[in-house]
Amino acid sequence: MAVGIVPFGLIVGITAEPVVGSAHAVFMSAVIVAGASQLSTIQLLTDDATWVIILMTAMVINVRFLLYSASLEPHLRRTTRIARFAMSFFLVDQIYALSLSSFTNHPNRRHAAWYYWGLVTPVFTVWMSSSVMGVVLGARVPDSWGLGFAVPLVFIALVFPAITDKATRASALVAAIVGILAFSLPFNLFLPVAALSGIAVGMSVEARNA
Amino acid sequence: MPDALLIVLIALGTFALRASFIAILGENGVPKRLRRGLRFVPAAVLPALFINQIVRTDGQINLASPQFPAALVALVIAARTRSILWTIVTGLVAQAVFMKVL
Repeated sequence: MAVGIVPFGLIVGITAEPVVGSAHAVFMSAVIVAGASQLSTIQLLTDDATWVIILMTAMVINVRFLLYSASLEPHLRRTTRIARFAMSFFLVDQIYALSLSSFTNHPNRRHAAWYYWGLVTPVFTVWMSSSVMGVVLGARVPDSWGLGFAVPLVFIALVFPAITDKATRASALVAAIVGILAFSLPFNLFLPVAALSGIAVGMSVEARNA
Repeated sequence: MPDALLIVLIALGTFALRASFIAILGENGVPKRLRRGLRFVPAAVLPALFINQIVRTDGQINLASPQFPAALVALVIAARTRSILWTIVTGLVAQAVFMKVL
Protein backbone atom coordinates (compact mmCIF):
# COMPACT_ATOMS: atom_id res chain seq x y z
CA MET A 1 0.00 0.00 0.00
CA ALA A 2 2.60 2.51 1.08
CA VAL A 3 5.06 1.13 -1.49
CA GLY A 4 3.78 3.46 -4.23
CA ILE A 5 4.86 6.42 -2.10
CA VAL A 6 8.52 5.39 -2.01
CA PRO A 7 9.56 6.36 -5.57
CA PHE A 8 7.57 9.59 -5.22
CA GLY A 9 9.27 10.52 -1.95
CA LEU A 10 12.70 9.63 -3.31
CA ILE A 11 12.27 11.74 -6.45
CA VAL A 12 10.89 14.68 -4.48
CA GLY A 13 13.94 14.53 -2.20
CA ILE A 14 16.49 13.95 -4.93
CA THR A 15 15.24 16.78 -7.17
CA ALA A 16 14.53 19.31 -4.40
CA GLU A 17 17.92 19.06 -2.73
CA PRO A 18 20.00 20.79 -5.45
CA VAL A 19 17.34 23.51 -5.92
CA VAL A 20 16.39 24.54 -2.36
CA GLY A 21 18.98 22.76 -0.18
CA SER A 22 18.59 19.81 2.22
CA ALA A 23 16.76 21.56 5.06
CA HIS A 24 14.12 23.16 2.83
CA ALA A 25 13.72 19.96 0.84
CA VAL A 26 12.80 17.98 3.98
CA PHE A 27 10.68 20.89 5.26
CA MET A 28 8.70 20.87 2.00
CA SER A 29 7.78 17.19 2.34
CA ALA A 30 6.85 17.68 6.00
CA VAL A 31 4.52 20.66 5.57
CA ILE A 32 3.14 20.40 2.02
CA VAL A 33 2.75 16.60 1.92
CA ALA A 34 1.71 16.63 -1.74
CA GLY A 35 4.37 15.28 -4.08
CA ALA A 36 3.10 16.46 -7.46
CA SER A 37 2.79 20.08 -6.31
CA GLN A 38 6.24 19.88 -4.72
CA LEU A 39 7.69 18.70 -8.04
CA SER A 40 5.98 21.53 -9.94
CA THR A 41 7.37 23.97 -7.37
CA ILE A 42 10.89 22.60 -7.80
CA GLN A 43 10.61 22.71 -11.59
CA LEU A 44 9.30 26.29 -11.60
CA LEU A 45 11.95 27.47 -9.11
CA THR A 46 14.55 26.08 -11.53
CA ASP A 47 12.86 28.00 -14.36
CA ASP A 48 12.94 31.24 -12.29
CA ALA A 49 9.15 31.57 -12.43
CA THR A 50 7.52 34.26 -10.29
CA TRP A 51 6.09 33.20 -6.93
CA VAL A 52 2.51 33.95 -8.02
CA ILE A 53 2.79 31.40 -10.83
CA ILE A 54 4.51 28.86 -8.55
CA LEU A 55 1.83 29.25 -5.87
CA MET A 56 -1.04 29.20 -8.39
CA THR A 57 0.30 26.09 -10.11
CA ALA A 58 0.64 24.27 -6.80
CA MET A 59 -2.92 25.20 -5.81
CA VAL A 60 -4.33 24.08 -9.15
CA ILE A 61 -2.57 20.73 -8.85
CA ASN A 62 -3.86 20.36 -5.30
CA VAL A 63 -7.42 21.47 -5.97
CA ARG A 64 -8.34 17.76 -6.07
CA PHE A 65 -8.07 17.79 -2.25
CA LEU A 66 -11.21 19.93 -2.22
CA LEU A 67 -13.09 17.00 -3.75
CA TYR A 68 -11.45 14.51 -1.39
CA SER A 69 -12.42 16.71 1.54
CA ALA A 70 -16.04 16.93 0.39
CA SER A 71 -16.34 13.20 -0.13
CA LEU A 72 -14.79 12.15 3.22
CA GLU A 73 -16.63 14.78 5.28
CA PRO A 74 -19.76 12.67 5.96
CA HIS A 75 -17.62 9.86 7.41
CA LEU A 76 -15.52 12.02 9.72
CA ARG A 77 -18.36 14.26 10.92
CA ARG A 78 -18.55 12.64 14.36
CA THR A 79 -15.13 13.80 15.55
CA THR A 80 -14.19 17.15 17.05
CA ARG A 81 -13.29 20.05 14.82
CA ILE A 82 -9.68 20.07 16.01
CA ALA A 83 -9.37 16.37 15.17
CA ARG A 84 -10.87 17.06 11.74
CA PHE A 85 -8.31 19.81 11.11
CA ALA A 86 -5.53 17.42 12.13
CA MET A 87 -6.89 14.68 9.87
CA SER A 88 -7.18 17.12 6.95
CA PHE A 89 -3.47 17.86 7.08
CA PHE A 90 -2.68 14.26 6.07
CA LEU A 91 -5.32 13.88 3.37
CA VAL A 92 -3.04 12.62 0.57
CA ASP A 93 -4.14 10.57 -2.46
CA GLN A 94 -3.40 7.17 -0.89
CA ILE A 95 -5.13 7.99 2.40
CA TYR A 96 -8.16 9.23 0.51
CA ALA A 97 -8.47 6.18 -1.73
CA LEU A 98 -7.96 3.68 1.09
CA SER A 99 -10.13 5.37 3.70
CA LEU A 100 -12.99 6.07 1.30
CA SER A 101 -13.19 2.46 0.16
CA SER A 102 -13.15 1.27 3.76
CA PHE A 103 -15.74 3.83 4.95
CA THR A 104 -18.01 2.88 2.04
CA ASN A 105 -17.72 -0.86 2.69
CA HIS A 106 -17.91 -0.66 6.48
CA PRO A 107 -20.02 2.30 7.48
CA ASN A 108 -19.01 1.81 11.12
CA ARG A 109 -18.60 5.49 11.86
CA ARG A 110 -17.57 5.11 15.47
CA HIS A 111 -14.16 3.85 14.42
CA ALA A 112 -13.69 5.92 11.28
CA ALA A 113 -11.23 8.33 12.88
CA TRP A 114 -9.11 5.53 14.33
CA TYR A 115 -9.04 3.77 11.00
CA TYR A 116 -7.96 7.02 9.38
CA TRP A 117 -5.07 7.51 11.82
CA GLY A 118 -4.11 3.89 11.31
CA LEU A 119 -3.57 4.70 7.64
CA VAL A 120 -1.84 8.03 8.23
CA THR A 121 0.83 6.57 10.50
CA PRO A 122 2.52 4.20 8.00
CA VAL A 123 1.86 6.39 4.95
CA PHE A 124 3.35 9.54 6.48
CA THR A 125 6.27 7.61 7.99
CA VAL A 126 7.14 6.06 4.62
CA TRP A 127 6.66 9.41 2.90
CA MET A 128 9.03 11.26 5.23
CA SER A 129 11.69 8.53 5.30
CA SER A 130 11.76 8.21 1.51
CA SER A 131 11.91 12.01 1.15
CA VAL A 132 14.85 12.19 3.57
CA MET A 133 16.53 9.31 1.76
CA GLY A 134 16.03 11.18 -1.52
CA VAL A 135 17.58 14.34 -0.05
CA VAL A 136 20.61 12.36 1.10
CA LEU A 137 20.93 10.73 -2.34
CA GLY A 138 20.31 14.05 -4.11
CA ALA A 139 23.38 15.51 -2.46
CA ARG A 140 25.50 12.60 -3.71
CA VAL A 141 24.24 11.92 -7.23
CA PRO A 142 26.22 13.87 -9.87
CA ASP A 143 24.27 16.24 -12.15
CA SER A 144 25.47 14.31 -15.20
CA TRP A 145 23.05 11.47 -14.34
CA GLY A 146 20.22 13.79 -15.36
CA LEU A 147 17.92 12.85 -12.47
CA GLY A 148 16.06 16.15 -12.88
CA PHE A 149 14.34 14.42 -15.80
CA ALA A 150 12.47 12.34 -13.21
CA VAL A 151 10.19 15.36 -12.61
CA PRO A 152 8.49 15.32 -16.04
CA LEU A 153 8.55 11.50 -15.89
CA VAL A 154 6.38 11.54 -12.76
CA PHE A 155 3.91 13.90 -14.45
CA ILE A 156 3.85 11.55 -17.48
CA ALA A 157 3.06 8.63 -15.17
CA LEU A 158 0.28 10.55 -13.42
CA VAL A 159 -1.49 11.77 -16.56
CA PHE A 160 -2.73 8.38 -17.80
CA PRO A 161 -4.85 7.51 -14.76
CA ALA A 162 -6.41 10.98 -15.18
CA ILE A 163 -7.46 10.20 -18.77
CA THR A 164 -10.60 8.13 -18.37
CA ASP A 165 -12.77 9.06 -21.38
CA LYS A 166 -12.98 11.08 -24.60
CA ALA A 167 -13.46 14.39 -22.79
CA THR A 168 -10.45 14.01 -20.48
CA ARG A 169 -8.32 12.86 -23.44
CA ALA A 170 -9.29 15.99 -25.40
CA SER A 171 -8.51 18.05 -22.32
CA ALA A 172 -5.00 16.58 -22.04
CA LEU A 173 -4.18 16.95 -25.75
CA VAL A 174 -5.34 20.56 -25.91
CA ALA A 175 -3.39 21.45 -22.76
CA ALA A 176 -0.22 19.94 -24.26
CA ILE A 177 -0.60 21.77 -27.59
CA VAL A 178 -1.49 25.13 -26.02
CA GLY A 179 1.39 24.59 -23.56
CA ILE A 180 3.87 24.43 -26.46
CA LEU A 181 2.31 27.32 -28.41
CA ALA A 182 1.94 29.68 -25.43
CA PHE A 183 5.38 28.94 -23.97
CA SER A 184 6.85 32.36 -24.75
CA LEU A 185 4.27 34.23 -22.64
CA PRO A 186 5.92 36.08 -19.74
CA PHE A 187 5.98 34.74 -16.13
CA ASN A 188 5.32 31.11 -17.24
CA LEU A 189 1.74 32.15 -17.96
CA PHE A 190 1.58 29.31 -20.47
CA LEU A 191 0.78 27.02 -17.52
CA PRO A 192 -2.56 28.54 -16.46
CA VAL A 193 -3.42 29.36 -20.10
CA ALA A 194 -2.82 25.76 -21.21
CA ALA A 195 -4.59 24.24 -18.20
CA LEU A 196 -7.66 26.48 -18.58
CA SER A 197 -7.86 25.76 -22.33
CA GLY A 198 -7.71 22.04 -21.58
CA ILE A 199 -10.45 22.30 -18.94
CA ALA A 200 -12.67 24.40 -21.24
CA VAL A 201 -12.30 21.97 -24.16
CA GLY A 202 -12.87 18.96 -21.89
CA MET A 203 -16.08 20.49 -20.53
CA SER A 204 -17.40 21.33 -24.00
CA VAL A 205 -16.60 17.84 -25.35
CA GLU A 206 -18.44 16.39 -22.37
CA ALA A 207 -21.42 18.71 -22.91
CA ARG A 208 -21.63 17.75 -26.58
CA ASN A 209 -21.59 14.02 -25.79
CA ALA A 210 -24.08 14.24 -22.96
CA MET B 1 10.84 35.67 -2.09
CA PRO B 2 12.78 33.37 0.21
CA ASP B 3 12.08 29.69 -0.49
CA ALA B 4 10.91 29.04 3.09
CA LEU B 5 8.11 31.61 2.85
CA LEU B 6 6.97 30.23 -0.51
CA ILE B 7 6.92 26.71 0.94
CA VAL B 8 4.84 27.88 3.92
CA LEU B 9 2.35 29.63 1.62
CA ILE B 10 1.94 26.51 -0.53
CA ALA B 11 1.57 24.41 2.62
CA LEU B 12 -1.13 26.73 4.02
CA GLY B 13 -3.03 26.80 0.73
CA THR B 14 -2.86 23.03 0.42
CA PHE B 15 -4.01 22.60 4.01
CA ALA B 16 -6.94 24.94 3.38
CA LEU B 17 -8.02 22.85 0.38
CA ARG B 18 -7.84 19.66 2.46
CA ALA B 19 -9.66 21.12 5.46
CA SER B 20 -12.26 22.90 3.30
CA PHE B 21 -15.18 20.51 3.73
CA ILE B 22 -13.92 18.18 6.45
CA ALA B 23 -13.25 20.89 9.03
CA ILE B 24 -14.50 24.25 7.74
CA LEU B 25 -17.53 24.22 5.45
CA GLY B 26 -19.15 21.01 6.66
CA GLU B 27 -21.89 19.25 4.80
CA ASN B 28 -22.66 21.56 1.89
CA GLY B 29 -20.68 19.62 -0.67
CA VAL B 30 -19.05 20.92 -3.83
CA PRO B 31 -21.44 22.78 -6.17
CA LYS B 32 -22.21 20.64 -9.22
CA ARG B 33 -20.88 23.12 -11.77
CA LEU B 34 -17.54 23.44 -9.98
CA ARG B 35 -17.30 19.67 -9.67
CA ARG B 36 -17.77 19.36 -13.45
CA GLY B 37 -14.81 21.64 -14.10
CA LEU B 38 -12.60 20.18 -11.37
CA ARG B 39 -12.88 16.75 -12.98
CA PHE B 40 -10.64 17.98 -15.81
CA VAL B 41 -7.95 19.57 -13.67
CA PRO B 42 -5.46 16.64 -13.52
CA ALA B 43 -5.83 15.78 -17.24
CA ALA B 44 -5.26 19.42 -18.22
CA VAL B 45 -2.56 20.48 -15.74
CA LEU B 46 -0.16 17.56 -16.01
CA PRO B 47 0.51 17.77 -19.79
CA ALA B 48 0.96 21.55 -19.46
CA LEU B 49 3.60 20.85 -16.81
CA PHE B 50 5.68 18.28 -18.67
CA ILE B 51 5.27 19.05 -22.37
CA ASN B 52 7.87 21.82 -22.57
CA GLN B 53 10.31 19.82 -20.45
CA ILE B 54 10.36 17.16 -23.16
CA VAL B 55 10.15 19.16 -26.41
CA ARG B 56 12.47 22.03 -25.44
CA THR B 57 16.09 22.43 -24.36
CA ASP B 58 16.91 25.76 -22.71
CA GLY B 59 13.62 27.21 -23.97
CA GLN B 60 14.09 26.26 -27.63
CA ILE B 61 12.18 23.48 -29.42
CA ASN B 62 14.63 20.57 -29.73
CA LEU B 63 13.46 17.11 -30.70
CA ALA B 64 17.02 15.85 -31.11
CA SER B 65 17.67 15.99 -27.34
CA PRO B 66 18.10 12.75 -25.34
CA GLN B 67 14.99 13.77 -23.36
CA PHE B 68 12.50 13.75 -26.24
CA PRO B 69 12.89 10.12 -27.37
CA ALA B 70 13.26 9.05 -23.72
CA ALA B 71 9.95 10.76 -22.94
CA LEU B 72 8.28 8.92 -25.83
CA VAL B 73 9.49 5.63 -24.34
CA ALA B 74 8.20 6.73 -20.92
CA LEU B 75 4.81 7.71 -22.40
CA VAL B 76 4.38 4.21 -23.84
CA ILE B 77 5.43 2.56 -20.58
CA ALA B 78 3.20 4.87 -18.53
CA ALA B 79 0.21 4.14 -20.77
CA ARG B 80 0.79 0.39 -20.51
CA THR B 81 1.80 -0.04 -16.85
CA ARG B 82 0.29 3.05 -15.13
CA SER B 83 3.18 2.68 -12.71
CA ILE B 84 5.15 5.67 -11.44
CA LEU B 85 8.11 3.45 -10.59
CA TRP B 86 8.38 1.79 -14.03
CA THR B 87 7.88 5.09 -15.83
CA ILE B 88 10.71 6.72 -13.88
CA VAL B 89 13.04 3.75 -14.24
CA THR B 90 12.55 3.24 -18.00
CA GLY B 91 12.53 6.98 -18.68
CA LEU B 92 15.84 7.52 -16.87
CA VAL B 93 17.46 4.46 -18.46
CA ALA B 94 16.25 5.58 -21.91
CA GLN B 95 17.63 9.08 -21.26
CA ALA B 96 21.01 7.57 -20.30
CA VAL B 97 21.02 5.45 -23.48
CA PHE B 98 20.10 8.39 -25.73
CA MET B 99 22.71 10.59 -24.04
CA LYS B 100 25.33 8.06 -25.19
CA VAL B 101 23.87 7.64 -28.69
CA LEU B 102 22.83 11.20 -29.65
